[in-house]
Amino acid sequence: MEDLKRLLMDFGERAYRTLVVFDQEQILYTIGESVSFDGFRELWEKRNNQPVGGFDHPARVSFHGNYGLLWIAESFDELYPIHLKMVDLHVENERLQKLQHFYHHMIREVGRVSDTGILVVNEKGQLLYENDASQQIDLKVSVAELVQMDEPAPTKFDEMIREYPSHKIYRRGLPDQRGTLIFSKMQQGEWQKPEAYGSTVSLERKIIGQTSTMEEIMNTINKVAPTDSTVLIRGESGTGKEGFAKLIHDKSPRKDKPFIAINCASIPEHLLESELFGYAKGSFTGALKGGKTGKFEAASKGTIFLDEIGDMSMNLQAKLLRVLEEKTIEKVGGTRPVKVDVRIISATHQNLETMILKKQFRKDLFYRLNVIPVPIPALRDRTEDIENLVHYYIKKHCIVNNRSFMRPSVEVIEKLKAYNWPGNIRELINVVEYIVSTEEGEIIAEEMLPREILNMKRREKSDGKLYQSIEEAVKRRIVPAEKTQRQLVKKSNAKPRKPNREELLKLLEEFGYSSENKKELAKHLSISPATLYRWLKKHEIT
Amino acid sequence: MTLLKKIDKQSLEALMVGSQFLGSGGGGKIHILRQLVKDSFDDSFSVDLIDLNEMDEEGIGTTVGMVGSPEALEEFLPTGQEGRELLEKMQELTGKKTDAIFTIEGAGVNLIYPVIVAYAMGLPLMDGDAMGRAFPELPMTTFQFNNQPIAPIAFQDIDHIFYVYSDQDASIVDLKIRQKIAETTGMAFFSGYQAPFAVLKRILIPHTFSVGMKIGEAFLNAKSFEDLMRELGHVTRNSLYGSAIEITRGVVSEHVAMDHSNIASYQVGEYTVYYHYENLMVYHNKKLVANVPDLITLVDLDTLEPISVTDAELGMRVAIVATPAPLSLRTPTALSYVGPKAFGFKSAYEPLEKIHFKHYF
Repeated sequence: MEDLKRLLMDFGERAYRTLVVFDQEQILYTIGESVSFDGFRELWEKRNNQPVGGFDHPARVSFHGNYGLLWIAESFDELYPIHLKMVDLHVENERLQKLQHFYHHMIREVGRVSDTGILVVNEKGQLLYENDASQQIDLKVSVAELVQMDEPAPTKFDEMIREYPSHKIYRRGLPDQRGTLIFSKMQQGEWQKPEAYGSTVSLERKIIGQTSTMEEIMNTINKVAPTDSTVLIRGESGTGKEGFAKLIHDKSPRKDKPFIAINCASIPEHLLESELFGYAKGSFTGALKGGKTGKFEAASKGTIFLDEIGDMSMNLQAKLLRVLEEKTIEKVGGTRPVKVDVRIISATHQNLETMILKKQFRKDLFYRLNVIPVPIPALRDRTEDIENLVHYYIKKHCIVNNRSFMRPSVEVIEKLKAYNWPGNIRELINVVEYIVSTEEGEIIAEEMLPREILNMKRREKSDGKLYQSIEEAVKRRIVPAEKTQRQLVKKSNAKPRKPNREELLKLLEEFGYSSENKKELAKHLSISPATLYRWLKKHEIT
Repeated sequence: MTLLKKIDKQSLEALMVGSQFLGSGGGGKIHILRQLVKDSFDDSFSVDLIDLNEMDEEGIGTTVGMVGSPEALEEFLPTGQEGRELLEKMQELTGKKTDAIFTIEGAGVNLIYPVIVAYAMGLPLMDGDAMGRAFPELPMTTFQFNNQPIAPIAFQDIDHIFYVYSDQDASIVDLKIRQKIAETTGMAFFSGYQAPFAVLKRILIPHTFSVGMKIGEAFLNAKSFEDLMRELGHVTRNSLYGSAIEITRGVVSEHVAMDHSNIASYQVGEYTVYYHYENLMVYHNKKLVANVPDLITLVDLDTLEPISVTDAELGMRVAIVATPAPLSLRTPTALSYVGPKAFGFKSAYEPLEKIHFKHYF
C-alpha cells in the first residue's frame, strides 16, 4: 500500500484530475476532485485500462494487486500516455526481467484504446508493434531514421524529438534496451476520437472476398453508404460486422464526422440508457455535476453503430424507436428533448424474427432498423476465400512477429476448408496467429492445427443441421430433386470403379460434354477431372 | 469472382496481358504468340484448366516451355507442334504418358506457350506453376526449393534437334542449355520436370492461370490508371499474391542497359529500378521500397499496359507497381534461390507488406 501511495503521490496528484482507489466494496481514498459512485463490483469485472463511462471526463480503470484504480483525466490525450509513464516507473523500480513482459503487454493494452500513435521498433528499425492510431498519422519521417539517429534514445517520456505542424514525435529506449518506443501525437485541434479511426481506402483494401455473396454485400454497401438509411447487419459472431459498419460510414458523406460503436450486450441495462442518451446534471446520486453527453450526441452528424441490438431491453427499444421516429433523444433526468442528426447502423447475430414472435423484440423497431439488411455470410459459406485469408494472415503475423515466412501444406488447406469455423474470421485469425507464434519451420503441417480442427467431423451446413441422407436433404430442399438419383447411386466411401466405355458415354450423355459438365461428372465419380480425362482418352472419347 | 475453369480465345487474350504483368519486366515478349493466336485459332478455341485442389494423386504432369534470349524468341513463330514432339520424347525417355500439362514459369511466353500445346494435344492444363512469376534461371522453381527431381529434360532447337539432359541439378542443366543455345539458334523449346499429380499438387503455386486472366481483364477493361489499380488491387488481394500497390508514377529519365549477364538500372523520377531480365529492386533515395521475389512491374501510363524492362524508354510515362509474392517464394529456402542475395545484392529480403505496412494491415 505504501508503494501505491507513493506512486499516486508522484503521478496521480500532478497529472490526473481525479484518482480513486477502491476495492470491490468501497472507495478507499481519492486524490484530487472528490467523486462518488457505486457499481464497484461492475468496475471490478473490467479489464485493465478499459475506458469507463459515466463520468464527465475521460476515465479508465486499472488494477494493482488488491486495489482498483479509477483514473479520471482532463482529456483522453492525458489519460494514456501518462499511464505509460507509470508503467515505466514500475519497470525501473521493480525486478526488470519479470516486468518486461508486463511492460510490452501494457503498451499493447494502452495502444489498443489510445489515440496516441504508438510504435515499438527494434534497433534495426524493424517494426515490432504498431497500434491502430499510428496508422492515422503520417509520421513524415521513416521509423528507421528515428531509431538510428545519432543521439541516444531519450530516457524521459516528455522529450520530443521532432515537431511538425500536424504532430509531434517522441522517442525513448525501452527498459530492456532491445527496442525503442516511438509515439506520435496529433497537434491540438486535430485530435480524432478513437472511434473515428479508419479511412475508406484502408478499410476496403483489407476486405478479402471473391464469392458472389461478398460481391453482393460490397454492391449493397456502395449503394446505401451515400444515403441516410438505417442498416441492419446480420451475421454470426466473428464475421466482422463492425468492420462493415465502419466501411458504410467511411463511404458516406458523414465520413469526417464521428463513428461511435457501442456494444449493447456488454453494458448493463441500467447503464446503457445513460451511455446512449447521456444524463442531465444532478439527475441521480453520484452523477457528475455537469451531466453527461451520451453516445447519440457524441455521434452528432456521424454514425452510431449499435452492436448486439438483440440484447437491448424492451424498455430501451421503445426509447430507441422514438429516436428513429422523432430524431430527438431525451437525457436521463432531462426535461426536454434534444435534436440529433445521427445515422443508425445496428447489428446482431440473433434471430430477431423469432424474438419478435416471443415478444422479446419490437416489431416496429425491427422494421425501422431493417430498412437495408446486410447479411454477412459465415466463413464456412465462403470456402473459396479461406485459402486466401489464411495466406494473408500468415503473411501478416510472420511480419508482425518478425519471423521467417511459413507456408501451409495442401493437407492443412484442405482441413481448414472443411472445418466448420463456428468463430468465423476471428477464429481463423486466432488459429493462424497461434501457429505462427508457436511453431518453427517453413511448412505448416497438419499436426500443428488445433485439436478441434484435426478431430472435426464432417462439415455442417450453416443452418446448423447435419442431414442423415440425401432424401432428408431433399425433403429439406438442400439438394434439388433432379440430382437425387445420381447422388444416391454414388457410393460414398468405396473406391471409384472404372466405368467401361458404354457407361462413360451414358454418363456423358447425362451430364453433358462441356468442361463444366465433365468436372461435375468427375465429382460425381469421386475422381479428379484429370483422371476423367485420362479415362476418356483411354476409351478415345472426345 | 470465381476462378475460371477453362481458357477460351477471349480469356487467352486477357491471359497474354496478365502474363506480361506477372513477368515483372521479363518473361519474354509475347507479341509473337499473340500473332499466332490471332492467325491460327478461331472462336472454338478452348483448353480445360484443372484446379490443383481438385487433382487426385494419380496421373502424370509434364511441363513444356521456351528458353532463350527474348530477341531470338521474336524470330521464331512456334506452332505447338514442338511441344507435341517434346512430350513424345519425354514418353520415350520415361515410359510415362503425360495426362496434363503444366508450366514451370507462370509468366510471359511460358504462361502462353503451354496453353497452345495443351490445345494442340487436347490435354488439360494445370492451374498452377513453379515460379509464380518470371525468373531468369531454371533452378528458381519450387521443384528446387522442395528438392524434387527435374530430369530428364529434353530440349529441341528450332532445327528440330533434340538435346537430353539427365542432371538432377537445375543449375547444371541451366548452364548446359545456355551454352548449347548460345552455340546454335539462340532459343529452344523444352519439356521435363515430369512428376505425378500427387507431387505437383503439393509443390506448384496454385491458380496462376486463373489469376493471370483476371489480371489481364483488369488491364483490358481499365479506363484510367486509377480504375486499373482499383481492379488490380481487388484481383490480387483475392489471390495468393496480395494487393498490388502503386510505388510511384513518373517519367523514365535514365536507362543504363548492360548486356544480359549484368544487373542494369533505370530511373523513374526519384526512384531507381535495378533489373536482371526481371525488375529486382526499387530504391527511393537509397531507401528500399520493393524487392525480389515480390513482383515489380512497369505500367505504361499512356497505353495502360504492363511493359518489359527493355521497353522502358527515356521519356516514357510509367508507373511502378509492386505486388507481394506468394508464400511459396518467401520461405527461407525459397529466398536462398530467389531473394535479393541470390541475385548478388547485399540486403536481405524485405517483404513489401512490411515496407508498406500501413497499406496492408
